[in-house]
Amino acid sequence: MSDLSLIDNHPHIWRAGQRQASQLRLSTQHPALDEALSGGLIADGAVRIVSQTGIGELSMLTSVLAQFREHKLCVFINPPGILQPAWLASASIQSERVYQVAPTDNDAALWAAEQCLKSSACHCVLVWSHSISPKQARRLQVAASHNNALVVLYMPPRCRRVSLPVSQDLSLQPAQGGLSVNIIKQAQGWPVEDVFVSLAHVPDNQPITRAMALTGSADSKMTHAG
Amino acid sequence: MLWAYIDFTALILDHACIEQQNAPTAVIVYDDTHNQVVQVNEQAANAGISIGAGMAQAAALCANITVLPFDSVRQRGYLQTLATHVYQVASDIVLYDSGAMAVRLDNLAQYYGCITAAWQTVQTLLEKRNVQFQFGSGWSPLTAKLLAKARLNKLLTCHRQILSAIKRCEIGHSDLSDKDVAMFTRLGVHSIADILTLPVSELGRRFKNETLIYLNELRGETYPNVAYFRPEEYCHLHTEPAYEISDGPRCRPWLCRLLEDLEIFLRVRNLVASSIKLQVHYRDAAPDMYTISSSTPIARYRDWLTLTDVWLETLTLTAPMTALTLDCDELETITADNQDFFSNRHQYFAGQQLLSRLRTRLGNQAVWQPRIADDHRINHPSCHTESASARAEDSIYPALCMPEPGVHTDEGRIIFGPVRIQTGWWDSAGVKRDYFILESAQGSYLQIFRDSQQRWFVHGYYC
Repeated sequence: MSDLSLIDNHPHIWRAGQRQASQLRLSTQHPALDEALSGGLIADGAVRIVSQTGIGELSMLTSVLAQFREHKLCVFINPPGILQPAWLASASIQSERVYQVAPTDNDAALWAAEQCLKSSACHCVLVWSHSISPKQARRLQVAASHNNALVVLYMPPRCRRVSLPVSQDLSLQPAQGGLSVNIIKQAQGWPVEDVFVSLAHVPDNQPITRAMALTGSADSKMTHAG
Repeated sequence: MLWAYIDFTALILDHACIEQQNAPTAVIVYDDTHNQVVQVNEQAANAGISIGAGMAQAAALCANITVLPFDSVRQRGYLQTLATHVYQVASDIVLYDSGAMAVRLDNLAQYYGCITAAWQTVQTLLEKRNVQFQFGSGWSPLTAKLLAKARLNKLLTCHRQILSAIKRCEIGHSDLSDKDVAMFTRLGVHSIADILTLPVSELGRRFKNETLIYLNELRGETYPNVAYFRPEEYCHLHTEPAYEISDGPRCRPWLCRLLEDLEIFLRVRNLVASSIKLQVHYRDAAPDMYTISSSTPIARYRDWLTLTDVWLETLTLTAPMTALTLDCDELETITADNQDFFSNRHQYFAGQQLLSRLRTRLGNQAVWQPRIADDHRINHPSCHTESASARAEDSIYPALCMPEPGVHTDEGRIIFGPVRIQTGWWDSAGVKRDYFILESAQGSYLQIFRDSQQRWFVHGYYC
């Protein structure tokens, strides 16, 4: 009995019945997702996001990226392209605090991510990687939690799914008008499926079609009157 | 010991060009006591003006030329300011009146991990100040100077490499006087390698003591006897624009630079200030004094700038301004209520160290900052320049673009477009493209374009 109470008091033991998120969270500004993640993305830890490229996987996190901790950097490591300053400006991310790193291979990318986290100069590190071992993920998770930083691991859906020791593990699917988020696992919480996040990160021709439709109907009225 | 010698080739010119980064005209710095051009900018060099040319020659080569007077006092002032900055990252600094400084690197290695990383940090700091320089490294300041004069521009750390580099140097790059050089030539000695092979007793018979001391130091046999640079206790910053300013708000860029320096001065010392004194100097009249006070003690550049902007708006100059001085002698230490200041100080240097570490391993090109350029072309080289203004309205741009557009094959439907970009006719990289946004069958949003030959390419992803 006494042994059990000892275990109960241990700060790292969490019971599904307890619903308190002791750790600091960064709100994603998507109420449904924040609710499912008990407050948002973890502020100091690793998050894996499995997603195909170009469905809004970055735009989903703009508010997390824009919540700069004072004087800290945001580093993009090995993204599948060159980061566009205009996008940063439209997402109100201060571009003078943003760096992009183009490493030569996957191992160098993970090395760079670990260096960024350990330097304690970073608010957020985003790494695109196609393979990572549980041991490497653990290193990133420890480095992030010790240095109060967030590391987001982006992985393509075709990569082999191994369970990683990360705080939050998400997978994204495109959905009409946004994204559907599956929370595969999260520390201090249950998995949640199909959280809808509405996104408007891509401009479309709606305004033009609407204007055309309006003028079209006006034209038809005029001809009718005539 | 390992020293780096940094020779600033165009200190006055670099300082004058803060405002017009890409000055279209040729600018030279002219020393009237020796009647020679001492510093030239790129345009002047393209026109054929070389360092050492006379004024008449320069004027004949280029009709439209801006001439700045050479002033050794001013140059020393700029060098002092640079040294104050380098002092943040290095301890042993020696200044030379010829517009150069030597920095000892080997004792920094334990703080930065290795000598290369220490040098990277110094180099990054200097590049940020937009100064041109040549450098060399060696076991004494004089050795490093010789290699810097020979424009080696490479950090050598190994003893053997340095020695072989020295041996390749010409005798003219050394500090030997003309008389000594002539004497060596008469003896049939034409290179540094030959001099170093001569026995000291032979040299002692023919040359003066100073020459022997110099050669000994070049060999690294004596400890360099130098006076180290020590930074000022109070903040006294001075800047002289290259031209006289008659309109108050136009001195803002110069003031910004002073305030940036002030921030760094305060931050490294854990200090804050509640007032600064600004002196506006005129050619003939006595300088005007202004005091700008803040309600709470502050250190940050942005905080000071909001205050000085208010001051600038109301400033009317009675005569054209020639120089601006910033003094700050009422310094306060940080109190407990602005604790976060400490962490910022740590992060500033942590960030600098991180960058130098990443650049050391991955190379300089592998780490960069996205910059907004005044150009509609995506990924145009001008995107990586410093002088740019934000265009926030461009929400039509994707988050990521590929370095080179790829051939488009995906099926999908177009949801936005066309947006025609036709620009760049003034240089060889002109484009005429119709951009669209495509929603692919997999649900990805791609930025695609059609070029003038109706071929389709994928250029970016709306991540």
